[in-house]
Order: sequence, then C-alpha cells, then structure tokens
Amino acid sequence: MRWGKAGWLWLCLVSVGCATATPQADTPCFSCDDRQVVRVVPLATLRSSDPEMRLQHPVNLSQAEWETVLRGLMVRSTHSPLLGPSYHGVTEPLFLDTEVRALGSSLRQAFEQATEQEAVVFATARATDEGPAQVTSGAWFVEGGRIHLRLANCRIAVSMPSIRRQIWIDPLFAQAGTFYELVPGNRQALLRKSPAEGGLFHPDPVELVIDGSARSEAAVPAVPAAPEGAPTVPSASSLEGRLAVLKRLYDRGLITEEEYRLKKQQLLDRL
Amino acid sequence: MKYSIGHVRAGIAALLVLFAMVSYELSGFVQKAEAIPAFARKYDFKCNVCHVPGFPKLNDFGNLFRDRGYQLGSDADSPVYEGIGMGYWPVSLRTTVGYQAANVRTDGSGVTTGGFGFTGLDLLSFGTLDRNLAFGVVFTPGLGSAGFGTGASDGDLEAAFVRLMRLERFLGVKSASGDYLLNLKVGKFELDLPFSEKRSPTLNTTFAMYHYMPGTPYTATIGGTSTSSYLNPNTFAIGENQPGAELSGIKKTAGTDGYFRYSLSALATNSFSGPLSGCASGTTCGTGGRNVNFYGHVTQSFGGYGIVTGQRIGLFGAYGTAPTLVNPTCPTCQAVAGSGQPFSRVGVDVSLTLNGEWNLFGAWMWGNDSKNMFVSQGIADAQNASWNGAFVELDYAPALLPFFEMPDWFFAYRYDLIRNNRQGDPTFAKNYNNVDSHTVLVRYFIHHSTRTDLALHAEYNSYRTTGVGTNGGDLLGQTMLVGFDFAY
Repeated sequence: MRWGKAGWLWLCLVSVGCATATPQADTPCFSCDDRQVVRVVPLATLRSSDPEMRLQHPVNLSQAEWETVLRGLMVRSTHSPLLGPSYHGVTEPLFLDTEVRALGSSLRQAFEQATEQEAVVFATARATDEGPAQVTSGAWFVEGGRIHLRLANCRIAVSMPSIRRQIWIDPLFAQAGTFYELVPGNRQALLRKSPAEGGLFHPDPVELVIDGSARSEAAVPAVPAAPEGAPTVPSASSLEGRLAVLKRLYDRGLITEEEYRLKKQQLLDRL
Repeated sequence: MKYSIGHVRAGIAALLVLFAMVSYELSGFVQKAEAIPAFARKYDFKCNVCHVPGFPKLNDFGNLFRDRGYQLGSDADSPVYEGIGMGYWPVSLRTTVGYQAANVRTDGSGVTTGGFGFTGLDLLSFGTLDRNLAFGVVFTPGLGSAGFGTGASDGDLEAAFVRLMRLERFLGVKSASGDYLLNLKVGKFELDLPFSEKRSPTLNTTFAMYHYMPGTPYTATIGGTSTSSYLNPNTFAIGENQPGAELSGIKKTAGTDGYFRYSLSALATNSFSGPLSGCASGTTCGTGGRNVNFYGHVTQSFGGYGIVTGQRIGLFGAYGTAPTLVNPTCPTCQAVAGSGQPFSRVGVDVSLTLNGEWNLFGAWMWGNDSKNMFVSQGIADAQNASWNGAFVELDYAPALLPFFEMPDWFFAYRYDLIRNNRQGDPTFAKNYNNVDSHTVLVRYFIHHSTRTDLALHAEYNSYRTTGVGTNGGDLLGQTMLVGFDFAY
C-alpha cells in the first residue's frame, strides 16, 4: 500500500461519514457570552412543518413574567445504579436566581423579535465550587397558546471548551450524561417526543408544556420529592445545593442543630 | 440541526468501506491504553469531562484529576460517600475489537497478514481509598489470541500502586486549594512521561523513542522477518511500566496562569526472568540485579494545563545502571546481576494548543548506553551507543467538523524518529536501526455516557527501519487497524 492509497482511504472515511450533516445558520444572538447564550432560530429545527400549527406571536411577556416561568421549573436528579433499584434526588429549582434574572431578560428580548416560525434556543453554564461547569441548554417556543421548553441538556458537566462550543452552536444537541429530569408542576405537563426525533446514541430531548397562565403563578411541583426512606443525594454539586439539602435534613429533624451548624460551617469554609 | 441516525449510519458505512478495502496485511504489537469509566459512574460524568472526545487521551480537567490523586476535592471523592454508594463499582474494562492488517518487507521478501480479533484486555481499577489516599490496579489477563491472533499474552499486573497525597501537611506546609505539593506513589506504574502512552489515541503504534534500544531492531518481531542485531543488556525503557517509588507534585502558578509539575522516580527492577544456568546456547537466560534507576520530569504550563488550553514546556531525564556481568555458567546468555554500567536519557517536551481543538506536541530525547554494556557481550572494540529520538504529534478534536458541522470526531498524525549517532558495535553502520514512522488515525466517538464509551477507530502506520535486514536492507512496515474501541 502506498501513501496515495492510504490518503484516499482517509478522505473516503471523512467524506462518507459526514455526508448527511446540516450546516448551522447564523442567527440573531441575545446576551451571548461564555456563560450564557440566547438565540432565535427557525422553528423548523424543532418541528416539522405542521399546517395546523398556530403560534401566537409576538410574545409579550414581561421580564418578571419570564422570571416567574423560569422559577417554576423544577428538576430532580435520577440515579440508575448497576445494582439495586433506581432512585431520585430531591426536587429543586432548575435555575438559580442569577440565572433566572439573566435568562428572563434575554428571553423577553428574544421573543419580542421571534416570529411564528422561530424558536429561542438557550444555553447557560453554571460554575461549581468543585468540578467542571454545569451546562443547561434547550429551546423555547410558543405553540397553541402554550409555552414549550425543549430541554436538551440539564446540568451536564462540561470541561472541554470544544464541547461547550458545540452546545453554544447548537443548544439542542443532547449530550449524554444528564442526570436530571424535569418535574412538572402546576399547569405544566411533560411531552415525550417520538424516538425518531432523538439520535440512535443520544438521548431524546424532553419537552415541557407550560400553560400560559403559569407566567403569573408561583410554581408548585406536582410530583413530591423523594419518598421517605429513599436514598437521596445532593443533586447539585454546587454549594448552594448542598446547603439546601443540609437545611432540609435539619428541618426534618434528621440531624441535630449542632450537626447542622458544624456541617454548614464546613461547607462555608470551602468558599 | 440534528446528528442522529443518519450520521451514525454514514459513519458506520464509511468504516465498512474501509473494512472492505483493507484486505491484506497484519501484525502486531498493540499497545495498552486506558480509559476508566468507573470514574464516570462515580461522579455522574460522561467521558469527555476527563477525556478529549474519543477517549483515552486526557484533557486538562482529566490530567488535573489524575495529578490530584483522582480527587475533585468534594465529598464524592470518598469511596464511602453516601451519594455514590449504590451506583459505583470501581472496576472498568477496556479492549478493541476489529480488523488488523500488516505488511512487513525486508531484503526482498515480506510477510502479509491480516485478520479479525481483539487487542487484549485491561481490567482497571483506580480510585481513592480515602481522602488523599489513591490507588490503581491494572490487570492484563493471559490470553491465547491477543494482538488480533498474533500470539498469546502473559497475564500480569501491569500497574499496581498506592498514592499518598498532600504529604506536605506533615511537614507543616499548608498548600493552597488544588495544589498537591508532595505526593508519594509506590508500586508499579507508568512513568510521568512527557505524553502518556497509555492514554494515547494511537492504539496500534508505540512511541518509538519510549521503547528504543540500540542494537535491537525496531519492530524486529513483526511477521518473523529475519533481521540483524547486536546484544544490549540494557532493558530499561521509559515507556514500560516500572516498579518503584515516585515523588510528585503540582502547583498552580498564578504568574503564568498555569501549573508547575514535577515527578522524581526511583526505580528498581528485580528482573530475574529465567534460569541462571543450563539454558541452551543462544537462548536468553535470567537477567537480574538490584540496580536502582532514576527518572524525573518537570513541566511548566502557561494559560492553562497545556493539553487543551494554554501551552506547556518540560524537561525530563533518566539515569541508571544495567546489569552486565556475564553469567559464568552460561557465557552465551545475557548478563546477570552485578557490575552495572550506566545509561542515561535526557530530553525536552513541548505542547501547544489552539482554540481548544488543536494540540501540537512533541518531545526530543538523547540516549546513551555505556560501552561496557557491549563489552560484556563480547563485542570487540565496543563503544558508547548514543542516539536521538523524537516525535511530534498533531491532534485535532473539533467541536464541530468544519463544513459538515458534526461533533465527536478526532484526528491525529504523529511522526516518530530515531537517529543513531554511534553504535555499540562499531561494525554496524551509523544509520543502522534509524527509524521513521508515520501514523494517522481517525476516531469517531459514536457513543459516550456515564457508563460506557464506544469509538470507531481507524489507524494506519508506515515505518522504515534502516539497515536491519540480514542482508543490510531496510525493514519496511505498514500496519492498519480498524475497529471498535470500547470501555465499560
């Protein structure tokens, strides 16, 4: 075998392997930096053309209303051990307050410009006190008078700049490694997509449908937190998440005040 | 944008095309490589948190995690942490299945072979026994048809060590968060090489300079090709896992926004490997000794760790003695314990990154073996053997493949070079056993989760070893490996 033949082989490998890819179009971007991206994209990236689809645009939710919607999103960690039954962590807000404020502002701006045939994709990275950043990404759109959230990645650990760039370019590309699931609250419902919409080796995005009236209501999780006696874990490696778990244990009387104060101080010492 | 069934199908189709076109050749030696999904399971991380997409190469985060004794600094580091108790089993396995082919030619004749099979098997367990107390074990079982059926492999503990972290605290030194200034590793382990061979994406091609020995033709064993050689009692190769103790440390350097790392190893091989007497003429009798060898490596990075972000420079070297005393009961055998004669290695390494996607790295090393090693083998007018070895590798792990906008591809090219300055046996030409080796590979990371990895791997290597044929001809070799590389 000569070099020429080898070179042809590699060229063949790359060209055939990449034959069906779709380039990313340039789209308007709101509040785009290393920590967060919010962008308007054609809705066709999420939905096939549906003649009955009637969107209600422009969407004129205020920032406060968007923040209410964002605060109403709850998640819980899921664990599927090799041995033993699966179990869940505690239910907690998907976004921190700082993320809610930043995203709320960006979503308001983006939806003021988005047309009926467009959706708003987003990605946000949360720094953790230990370990890599946690990235959450997906898309928002309005359909049938309801707000839809397609959550592709939920708090996945990302250490590689190229992986973060990959998500920033396409927030809908679901990476493996999500250990959180959406917990629908009042006026929220999960919509499972057909398997064909996910990849063969990639998880299917989860879609949450939010009733428009939820924008002015504080969300209440419809699904209770982990059942009594079930093993729970701090579902976020962030300090905030750990303090919340600690407080919950204390409130339930599972640890003494002394233990609570000692552990809390240990966590705070890491700041 | 979607990367779904169509893309995977296309990738598989491409590799099937490659499979179909590879209809000849075989060989070899397949190096062991490591990926440890047990950590992914422990921390709920997917593989590319610690690895460059398309494991096993470690990214900056993974390198730091290793340097810090497999610790993030969180409660989850503990093996008894309640949150991981139900899902964590600290054992992983790794192998590659597929098709390997090779063609080796010298002195006008050649061998062409090829076949399906598997590389070998690594059973790996790494982790923490407690905070600042790490361990590692790699078991390679004996297999009858390892190396894609080219021969049996011996079972062994390829690595087994315990690592005590942050010993500086016992000296009254309080290190900053993330700094591990004084760590001690004891056991058998991979040296702190300029660039780890165990975690290299090249599965079918070793780093020539890590294993090169003057007098021993590079890849001489492939295909049973007849070669010439001269005896060298030195068996120390920095690329082989070594038994010993290693002091190491890492410190973040604010002035460079990078890290300073050091390692210093004292290595002692009780290398008795056969009978001291009674062996047939021409066969290898036992080699032995209590020689202590030393290896050290220091690096300084700038603007990151230097593998994915930032740049890194390093200096490394080894010094030791090899047993050379001729076995009095078996004069034709190789040396046994006693009268060790020195050898030395010294080199530099550099790693440059661009855009978090490109990594250009390489190393140069000068080696010298004492002439007394060759005198002990009965070589007339023996002289010091000295040589230069080097490699340069370019890795490209794009966030999205240009023009095609596809993630999870990895490309690499490496050039390995050996240039001899002087042979231990002066009857051999100066350029005898010079090596030029080119390796290209493509990996497509088709599946990665917090449980498992699966990558399609295609690798091609072409090399020339000068003048090692029986009649003085060059050894020309090509190897090809196409397969599925997976870890669980």
